[in-house]
Amino acid sequence: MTGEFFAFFILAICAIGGAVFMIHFDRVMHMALSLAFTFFAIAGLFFLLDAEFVAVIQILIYAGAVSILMLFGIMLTKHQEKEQTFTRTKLHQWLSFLFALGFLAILMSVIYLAPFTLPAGDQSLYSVNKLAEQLFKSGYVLPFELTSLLLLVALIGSIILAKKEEKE
Amino acid sequence: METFLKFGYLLLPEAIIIGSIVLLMLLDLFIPAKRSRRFFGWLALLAGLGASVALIWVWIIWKTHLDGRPIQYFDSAYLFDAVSLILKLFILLSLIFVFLLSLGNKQNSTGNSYQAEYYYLMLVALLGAWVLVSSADLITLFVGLELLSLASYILVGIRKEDQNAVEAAWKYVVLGGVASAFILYGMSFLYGMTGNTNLMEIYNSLQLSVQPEAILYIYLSFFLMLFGFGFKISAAPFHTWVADVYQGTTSAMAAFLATITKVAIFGFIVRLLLLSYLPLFYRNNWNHYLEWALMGIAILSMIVGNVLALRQTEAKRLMAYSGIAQIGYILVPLTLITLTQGMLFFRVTFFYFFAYILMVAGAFAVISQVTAQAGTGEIRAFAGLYRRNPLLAFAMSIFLISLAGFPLTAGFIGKFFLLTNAFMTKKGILLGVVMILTTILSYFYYFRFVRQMYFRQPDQPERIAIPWTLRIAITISLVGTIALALLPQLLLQLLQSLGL
Repeated sequence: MTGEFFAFFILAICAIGGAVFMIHFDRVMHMALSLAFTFFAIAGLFFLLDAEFVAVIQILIYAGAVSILMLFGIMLTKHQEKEQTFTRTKLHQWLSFLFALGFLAILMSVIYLAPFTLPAGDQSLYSVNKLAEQLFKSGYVLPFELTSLLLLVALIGSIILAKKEEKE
Repeated sequence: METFLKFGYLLLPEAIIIGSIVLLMLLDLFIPAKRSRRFFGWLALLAGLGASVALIWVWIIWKTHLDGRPIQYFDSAYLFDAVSLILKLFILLSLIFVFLLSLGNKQNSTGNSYQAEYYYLMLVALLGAWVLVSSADLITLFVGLELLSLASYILVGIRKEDQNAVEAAWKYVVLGGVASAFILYGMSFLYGMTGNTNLMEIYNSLQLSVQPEAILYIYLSFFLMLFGFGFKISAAPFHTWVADVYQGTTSAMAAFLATITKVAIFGFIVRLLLLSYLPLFYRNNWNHYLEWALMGIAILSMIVGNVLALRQTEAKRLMAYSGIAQIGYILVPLTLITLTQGMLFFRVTFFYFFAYILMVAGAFAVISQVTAQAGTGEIRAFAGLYRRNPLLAFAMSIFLISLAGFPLTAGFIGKFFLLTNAFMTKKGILLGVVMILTTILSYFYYFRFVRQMYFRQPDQPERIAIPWTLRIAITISLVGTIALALLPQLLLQLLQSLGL
């Protein structure tokens, strides 16, 4: 029982717990907060894996920007505080549960049947400098540029879909 | 980078599309808000036509100056080869049809609001589809996929005042997001086990150096991606969203989803299977499972699509289920690719796809006009079409018998090729038999349209007028459907000259 294992255990429980609570809470505000909790725990997992850059990005963008934006969005808009009732049949719920369980079973069995035997790679090779080199000096220039278009489309789309129509 | 500087001119069509997207966005900003934006459709159509001229020019240059050898840009993240060229042409042709349909009547696009956005988002979707069919790198592929998907989500939901459209967009975005997540999860396993995002490098390491215990993860990634693609290409058993989305959106957008999305995702699957996963099919113990998984999807799509289509009374829902069945037919040669050694695979599949685009675009063009005039999407809107507009009824009949696979139409020749390809192998006989049986089943619902058109009294006696843009679209697809049946060797020779 090393310290790393212990830290992993706690962070993993936080991540999963946050996700479970996010589904189970009734109020949107609580959901957003527990989601932020999950984001933080995942950032911690990245730190454990020596991926500092990704961890910082995770905190900055997900835990920071996305969560704050969600909270602002919730606070600035009107929303029903009352509990919503879903009209799902029992059969549907059981089927979904079975599918999710089956998927989990398959994933776990693959992980147990095929353990990783290779040693971990040398982490010093994966610095931020290298990351930037990979991104801009090799084949990833094209997807990088296309991502900017993708973000633009997402921006335009969200404006179109969320804008309130003025009455004529 | 050197290849980009040297052969960059081959990417002129892409450049034209990107340039027009940016120009249209800026133009939208500078035009006063009160002005009508109908003319954006014409500009977008112009961009599409310009891109097709450029594509053909690039094709000729590539053929004459570079002997038609594949060119790889950006460390082979982006390819220019025969497959991508043909699929790009198919996608562009489909988009021009969709533009013609959208310009045809107001109900087809967005009413009066968001005209500009509608058209340039279509161009963005085209770019995404092009990236999807011509890249050989997991990351580029995923970005292309998301470009296409995001633009389609928005385009389905752009008519916010229509409750059905909102519901369709919501279903599409949730299920599409789940499918993307599955694909991404599969990609992560593939990358983790091979250490590469490039499809050809993945092929090499799958063939040579994958650890025996790691191969399980590769299979896992294969099945995860199969799930995702099943959703995106709307194959059974992942088809539940298709009918609702088609019904909720316009005919033009339904034609878009039925042609562009399917062609692009199919190109993606072909690339992934042939460039990366092929070594798996030659491993002894598991190859049967992989083949049966693919065959199962094809068989289920044919059966589910055709059986469920029998019960539909709404024209676009019926087309959605028929589209699921068509995808089942198209997947047949792909599932047999290792058994037939890829013989004639591209020729057979691309021929059917071309026929499919023509007949589906034509059918949606007719459906859009007839349902818009009747004010209902039910099939009974077609009642007595023969008396109201004989030519339109004739065109629709040709498209329907082509979809059903009757002789003297492109659909028949295409299906005949698919069947001969299936019967080349022992395993394919099962697929061929299912295909024949389900095709016979499909006559029932295709002829339901025909019965309405010729043997029912019309509700309203007046003639159906067709805008000239729709008339062009219907004429092109009608001539194409018949010409492809009479002179199939033209297309086959063209494909052969490209080495497919």
